[in-house]
Amino acid sequence: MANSIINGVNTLQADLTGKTVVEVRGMLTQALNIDPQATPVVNGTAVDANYKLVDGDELEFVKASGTKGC
Amino acid sequence: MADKNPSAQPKERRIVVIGLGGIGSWVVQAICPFLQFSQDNWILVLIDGDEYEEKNRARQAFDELGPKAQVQVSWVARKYSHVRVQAIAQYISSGGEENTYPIRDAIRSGDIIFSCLDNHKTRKMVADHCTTLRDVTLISGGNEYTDGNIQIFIRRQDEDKTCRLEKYHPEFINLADKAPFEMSCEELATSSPQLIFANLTAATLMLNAFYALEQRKLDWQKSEVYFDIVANASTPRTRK
Repeated sequence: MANSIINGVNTLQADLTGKTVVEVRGMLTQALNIDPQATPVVNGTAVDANYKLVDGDELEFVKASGTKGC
Repeated sequence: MADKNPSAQPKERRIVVIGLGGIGSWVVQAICPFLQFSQDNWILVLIDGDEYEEKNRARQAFDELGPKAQVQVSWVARKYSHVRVQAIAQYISSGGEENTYPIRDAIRSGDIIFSCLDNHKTRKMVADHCTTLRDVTLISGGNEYTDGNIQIFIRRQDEDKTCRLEKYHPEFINLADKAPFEMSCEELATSSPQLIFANLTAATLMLNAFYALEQRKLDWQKSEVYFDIVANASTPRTRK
């Protein structure tokens, strides 16, 4: 079973079980265009950088909200 | 889980649209026909301190130049007799400073708010005010050039039913921008480009959320939706 790594509308499936959030961020910053300030969230709950992914975890780097609109 | 029994709906219901530019003007265009044929008794409050200029026609929906709130109110009143409409042709602020309109007078308990702003400082002010109200529905949208997101914040009976806008978004805490009434003319004149399709997508997703809430079918845990028009994708996200 893989993990889902999410940033905005982008999702990447990969088996990253045992990797920490900071390791995943480092691996996928460019591929998913992850903002350094993005909050990591696993299965809907905020986690810290040392959280280790377990099988099936969905890790989202929460993309910043859109600024404009007027 | 959706709350099947939200607090009693007021007999007279209010929708407040804050910001009548690239997102807000399209929200008004689409929501008025819906309200016109609704069985509820709606008041539409339209807020913006800016004016429509010729250059705005590239992205914004309006039929004449002038103060945005007044122009939209005139349009709604001409076309939708069943919708009662009110203009607030000022920027909003927390305390009503510098010829602005105090937010406590603009947004009340029971309101449904479409936050269609162009800066996080005012978005956060609106969201913070909503946390002081007993019952409120806030639908906030924003975009960059080709992507963006919407967020939904719901309170019922003095209790948050969804997470607050800033919970996973440090950009709402470490505010780097200014409200329009704090900006110089030069700052106001300098705006980065936007794309009408991004504005329209944000407006559409906000209206979709409104409709789902009206139908009591919105999954309140999925209170944020991202979109990217180049990827031709929109995706709801779980927020606990």
